Amino acid sequence: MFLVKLLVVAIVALFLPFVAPWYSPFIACFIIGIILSNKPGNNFLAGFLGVGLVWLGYTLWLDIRNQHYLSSRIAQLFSNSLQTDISYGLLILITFLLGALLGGLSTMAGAMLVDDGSRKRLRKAVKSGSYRLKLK
Amino acid sequence: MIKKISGAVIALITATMVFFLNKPIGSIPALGMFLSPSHGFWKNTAHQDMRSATLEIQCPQGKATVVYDEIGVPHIFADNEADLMFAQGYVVAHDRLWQMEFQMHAAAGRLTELVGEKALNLDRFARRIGIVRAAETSLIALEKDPLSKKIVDAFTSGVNAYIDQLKPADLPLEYKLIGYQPEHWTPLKSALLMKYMAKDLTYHDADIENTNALRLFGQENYAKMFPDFPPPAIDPIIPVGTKWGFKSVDSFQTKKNTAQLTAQLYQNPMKHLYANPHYGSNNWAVNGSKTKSGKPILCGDPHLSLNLPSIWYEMQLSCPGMNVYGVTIPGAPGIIIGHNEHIAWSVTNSSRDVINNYSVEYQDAGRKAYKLGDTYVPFTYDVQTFKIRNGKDFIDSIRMTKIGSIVYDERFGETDDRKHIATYWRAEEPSNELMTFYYLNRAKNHQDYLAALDYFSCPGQNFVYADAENNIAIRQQGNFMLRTSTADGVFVQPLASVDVTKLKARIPNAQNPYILNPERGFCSSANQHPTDGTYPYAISGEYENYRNRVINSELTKMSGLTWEQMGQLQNNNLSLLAQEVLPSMLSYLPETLDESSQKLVKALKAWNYNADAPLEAPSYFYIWWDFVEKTAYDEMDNKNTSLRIPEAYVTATLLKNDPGFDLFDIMVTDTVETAKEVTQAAFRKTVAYFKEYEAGNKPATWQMVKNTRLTHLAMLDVFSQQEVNIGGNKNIVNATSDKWGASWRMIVDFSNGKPQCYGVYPGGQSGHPGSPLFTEFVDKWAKGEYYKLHFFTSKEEAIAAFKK
Repeated sequence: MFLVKLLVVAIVALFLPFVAPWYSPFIACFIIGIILSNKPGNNFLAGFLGVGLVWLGYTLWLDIRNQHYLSSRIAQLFSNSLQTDISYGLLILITFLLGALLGGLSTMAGAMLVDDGSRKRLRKAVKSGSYRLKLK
Repeated sequence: MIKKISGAVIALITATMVFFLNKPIGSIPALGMFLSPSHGFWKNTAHQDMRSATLEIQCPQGKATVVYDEIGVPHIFADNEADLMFAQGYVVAHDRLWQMEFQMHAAAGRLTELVGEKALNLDRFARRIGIVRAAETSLIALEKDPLSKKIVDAFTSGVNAYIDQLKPADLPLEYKLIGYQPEHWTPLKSALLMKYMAKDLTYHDADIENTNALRLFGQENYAKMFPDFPPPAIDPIIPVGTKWGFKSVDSFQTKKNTAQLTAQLYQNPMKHLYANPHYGSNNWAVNGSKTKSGKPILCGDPHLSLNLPSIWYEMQLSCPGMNVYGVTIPGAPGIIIGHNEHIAWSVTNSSRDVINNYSVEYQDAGRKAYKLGDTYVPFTYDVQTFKIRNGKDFIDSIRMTKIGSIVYDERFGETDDRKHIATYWRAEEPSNELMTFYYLNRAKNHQDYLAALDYFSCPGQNFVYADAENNIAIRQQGNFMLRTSTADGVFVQPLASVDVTKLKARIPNAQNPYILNPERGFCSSANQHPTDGTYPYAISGEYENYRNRVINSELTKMSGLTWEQMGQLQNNNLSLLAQEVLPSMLSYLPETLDESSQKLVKALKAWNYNADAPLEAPSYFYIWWDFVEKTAYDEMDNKNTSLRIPEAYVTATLLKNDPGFDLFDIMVTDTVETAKEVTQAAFRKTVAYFKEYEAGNKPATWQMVKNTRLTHLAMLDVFSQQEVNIGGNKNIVNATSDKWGASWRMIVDFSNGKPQCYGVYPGGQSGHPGSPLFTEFVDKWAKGEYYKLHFFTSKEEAIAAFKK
């Protein structure tokens, strides 16, 4: 179940932003949380790793291909305006943590908002809905 | 229940976090968006790196093919000119969208919308001097001509087609950083960019400073400081001795100094927003008598403010009836400097004075009407609204007279009614410069070139020309005023004295300075006087007197030329100023000097006068020269009265030949100083300067002291380049000073029948700071090297060369 959840979250985090805003995966995570289970800790971890790893992987892929050309300049830009020393490595870490944290929290919140009884009814409704759709 | 409540709380906290991460705070962009790999800056690393790639663009009538070569130059092929312009708009937006829109914002006085209140004075100045009014006027002329309307409309649609397919994730980086969205392009915006160039190239007027200088220093000193033709000699664009073959068209035109002057000392509170007349552009063409191949070579290196993204964008445009290669300003349809199969052309600034300033006489304290002739005329008003980011709208009501706006009044920079200034700017007259480039791009011979030039009004430019048939020519083209005297337009005059019809009269195009196939085998210009005093019109302006002499003497000496030698001349670092004045300066120094002074003198005496980047002598000389000017013209350091210092050539000549000149006297002392004491005092300051400089552990090389820098348009330091390794300076052929320099170097060699072009500019084809192409050309440019450019005769040839 955990792996399924993680995979669903990861797929959503990777593909949804192509057609929707940057924060769309977190709304999706929240809905996934509502539908899939109510184990908050387990959900947090799935959301954390699901979004976090996608963000990390995507970021690294883009950045390494660019040979850190832009990221080191953006790091310098932040260093200048915040008067601290920020490296591109730190930017990658912050990016990972940002995606992971928001993913974890939203998946967890969805899980906590709905109890098992309503979740079952919800799933049933979804199922029968899709069943009817298939009939047509 | 508790679980549900905590779930709701966590959901709320998460949503709040997302909300705030989606909003920019101060100068920090919306961090969530900005850092997300899908929409943030990371995304700007991957896209739009166009190199050796092919792109198909769906145009209104057919398809255009774009072949990007190995340095990112697009070669566009279309079936008709409307599709070609559409594709040009699309491609330019693809590579330079942010730049073209940001420069348009600057032209339109709309920077406050992006950066807030801090840009308000800049924006107000832009609108008060009339960049927007001028663009609106020129748009009317542009849309009246069906041909130029078709061209600019197609270009506009192309830009918008690119904007419309642009997803938020793929916005250029600066939009994400500053936090705004691109708007649709319009023909007015193209017109605004052209007028912005006009402002950059003509708004260096000195009427206010001249008036003050005449009042403060008297007629005799004024004539020494600002002579119409500085002694001992000038070297104009049209060689001395050329016969004109015509007379002045108008009887009121006189070359006598008969201006009616006003009685005030004026301020120029926004002088820092004026253009700098000392950019330094060169162009020349040599015919077959001078070259190894027997065919002409044309060279051009316009100098402008050094910015990133670079002001120029390089491209080839090809459709039936036209095949042209060169550079354009992102936002302008067509090619501005370049060549086709038959001809080549380049421009330098004419530096002619096209601005008149007038003092306003109000009817009464209500300031509702102004005196013109013998009557009072009520003002009309140009009401301008400024949208300010994170602030309330600002409304500026600009008083309009029959000749132009009042730039300085109680609302903007000048509290004293007697010193309010109305300005006439030639760029506000109707014109359609776009057609010049339209016809030049298609020109086949020198008649076509002359006909194309007739459309060009402002900013006045020196168009140098060469063709495959071994003709060379140069014409100074613009809508130039018929001066009523040599003082007309040089000093602030009473607005009441203006004759509006005479003001708008012009020198006919056919009587603009022009020469075809001169005997000496070359044509050249470098912002110097267009003519000598025999030209039947007054030609006030701010002219150069060094680069022209170096270029002309080199070209006169040279023969059997190849393009490589022309490249060396474009990168020539000889400081003729130093060569002419440094021996005198050294001779003014005392016999005995301390050790640190001797070090400088030794380096200067051993110097060959080339301002090369790794040398220390040019640093010593130019810092010394700056101190000489500051010390000599200590009178100019006046908070309440704007003044300007004379041209280096004038000061150098005075320093050598007129050591007792009044202004050499230093005001704060009781003794009378001459050139000698000024030079010595300046030298002591120079020695002290370098003592302090060297304590900073930086080498005193010319590269470091001059600090040539390419500044990002939005002043973002991390995307700028500092201490570029390049020599030269103003008044040198390679006129690369701290912030100005060769913005494009081009050599077109007709040796093989087919023009072969070499070029380089300080920047790169991509306007995206995340792309390695952003600054790709800078090193080659600094070294004085060139790219051999591809000029394809057909789409198939281009595809075969670069298709991946």
